Amino acid sequence: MIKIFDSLFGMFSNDLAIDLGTANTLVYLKGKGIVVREPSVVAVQKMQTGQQKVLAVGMEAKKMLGRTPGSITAIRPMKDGVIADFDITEEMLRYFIHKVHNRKTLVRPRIVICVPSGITQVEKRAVKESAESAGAREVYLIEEPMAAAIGAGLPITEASGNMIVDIGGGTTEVAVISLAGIVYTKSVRVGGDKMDEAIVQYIKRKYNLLIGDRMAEMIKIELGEAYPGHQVLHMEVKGRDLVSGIPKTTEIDSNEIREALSEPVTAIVDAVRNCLERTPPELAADLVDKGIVLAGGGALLRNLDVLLREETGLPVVTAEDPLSCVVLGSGKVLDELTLLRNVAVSS
Amino acid sequence: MSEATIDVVIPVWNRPNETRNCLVNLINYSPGARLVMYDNGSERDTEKLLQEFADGLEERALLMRDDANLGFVRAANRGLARTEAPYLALVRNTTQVSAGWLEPILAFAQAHPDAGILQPCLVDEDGGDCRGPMELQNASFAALVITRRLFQEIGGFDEGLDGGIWCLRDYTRRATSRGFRSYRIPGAAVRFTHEQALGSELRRQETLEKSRALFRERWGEGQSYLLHVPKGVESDLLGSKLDVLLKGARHDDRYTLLMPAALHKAAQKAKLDLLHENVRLVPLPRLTGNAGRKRCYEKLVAEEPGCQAVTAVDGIAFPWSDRYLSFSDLAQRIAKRYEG
Repeated sequence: MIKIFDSLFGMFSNDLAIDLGTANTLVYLKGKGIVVREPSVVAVQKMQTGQQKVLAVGMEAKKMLGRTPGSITAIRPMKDGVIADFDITEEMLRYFIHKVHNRKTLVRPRIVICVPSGITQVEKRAVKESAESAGAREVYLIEEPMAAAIGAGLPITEASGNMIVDIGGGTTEVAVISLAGIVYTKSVRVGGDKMDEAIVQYIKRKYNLLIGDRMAEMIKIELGEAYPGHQVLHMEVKGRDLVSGIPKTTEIDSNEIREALSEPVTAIVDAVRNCLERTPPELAADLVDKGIVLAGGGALLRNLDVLLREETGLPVVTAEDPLSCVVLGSGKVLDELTLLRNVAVSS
Repeated sequence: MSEATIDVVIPVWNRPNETRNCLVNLINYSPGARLVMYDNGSERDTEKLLQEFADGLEERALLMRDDANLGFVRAANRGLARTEAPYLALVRNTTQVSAGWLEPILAFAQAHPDAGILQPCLVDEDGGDCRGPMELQNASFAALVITRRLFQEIGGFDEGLDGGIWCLRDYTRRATSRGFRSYRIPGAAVRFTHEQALGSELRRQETLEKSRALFRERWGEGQSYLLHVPKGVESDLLGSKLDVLLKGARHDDRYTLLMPAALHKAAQKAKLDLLHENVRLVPLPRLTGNAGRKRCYEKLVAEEPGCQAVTAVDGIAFPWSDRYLSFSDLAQRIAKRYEG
């Protein structure tokens, strides 16, 4: 009986692909394209009864990060690419699904959700159940590097090897894909968040200045680089002096930020090198010609392609729209159900 | 020094489930064997699995590990180099041996000192031809056994070749050049799955062409002959003629012998059809006239373009072509090409 209602409501719902990222959640609506691109942040208020009430989701909630009064908390329910808070993730998903459909009733869409390749069966189950509780009729999970490769337009169904490096907020996924399957993958829990954290720690250590996560992210975007560029960039940074305790402004440059980022960047380079070493020689030979494709927000880090090129000796290109690669790839498989069933992972 | 009769080399790159099945079967059905597991840079789960097996087997196992994936042939060579037993086997981690797979091979090898490479009865999902013992043009990387004597003489596989058919053919030819033979031995089925070819079509084609060219440069190119055996030839005479052809077959020449159905039956009974995989005996259709037999000949020519017609008995003309060789010419050609 439930199945009959599911398929009936399914007729009034649109299939969705969701890139449930640590930093941002993107939603692709079949036939329309990307309709939601918002931070994965939820602001909740703790009620006296102990229950949590969702006040804001996405952009609105992100603005509240670090600026909330005692009873309100801005939460990032995803950590290192996986669900850290099951209930809040469910609320966030429900919010996005309803937002896309512009209504709260009769919504039972088919959903494709991307998950990091290194996650456990329990974590996969958690993602699936969250989506089902949020109203999904059918849930398919696909691995992020596979979705990113499809989104970047790589010929994944061919026998030739393709290497994709997807640097997200919580994880970096390096994968070699051939014949619509992941031949080798390496997932490291290093991404944009670890870079922000490295910047916070560096400035704290060097200038005794405490800055927030948003400031750190701004510095990363403005000054961050993986390899020395042609010019040294400067920026004023505002924070709290740890000695005097009062707000202070100081100037930093891109050389310092490169130094601050060296640890997470080295972890990414090591993951790529490791993946190359362990790839079967037959596929490694293809990679020499075709090179590495960078996707994810981390791909926008200045000169990361130059560094990887120098470290590996392979051609490195950044995908056309690295931030949307994963969701675009998941969206593409919504149109091709056979491919979706081929690339979907079991949970 | 290990006490094992045979050292089984298993190059492993991930696929923990298949690897576990392969190892369990090898342990259960290979008495007196020592496993040489070569981990070709596998993931943690496979690495742990191999370590568990190695710990459990103690002296009966040797675990080698490389952080990089060297490819199957390189891993196989490194594993083979660490073997000590009188017989060495190479088994893919996706292959599953069954009870009694090894005994007939070792018994045959002991009885035939010229046997250098021995292939068990390999079957895939479509089955497999296990008749024999029969000499082979090349064995298979799915599972093969080589003798220490051969390994000491010619060493491991050529890493510069394709890691497939040309590499195996080259190994057989190197063995042949030292007087060793390559056999398929009937026995318990060894199940294998065909390896998924990795890499782009173009690159694989390039590698194959390069390997083929290198093979040709080293060993020359085998010729193809179609022999007509006329009525009246007895199986003893056929046997002596096949002995001549066997030398060519071991050097990659291919022979197809068209013969009367009765002689074919007698040859099968005498196991003359199991001499070498490059020697094929084909019966002529019984109830058709010359036209039907000619069609049979034309079909074979279409299957093997460029083959040369030969009359198996000098003085009796080849019935369907004016241009043909006599058997004496062919025998001379074989003797000249493959002296020694």
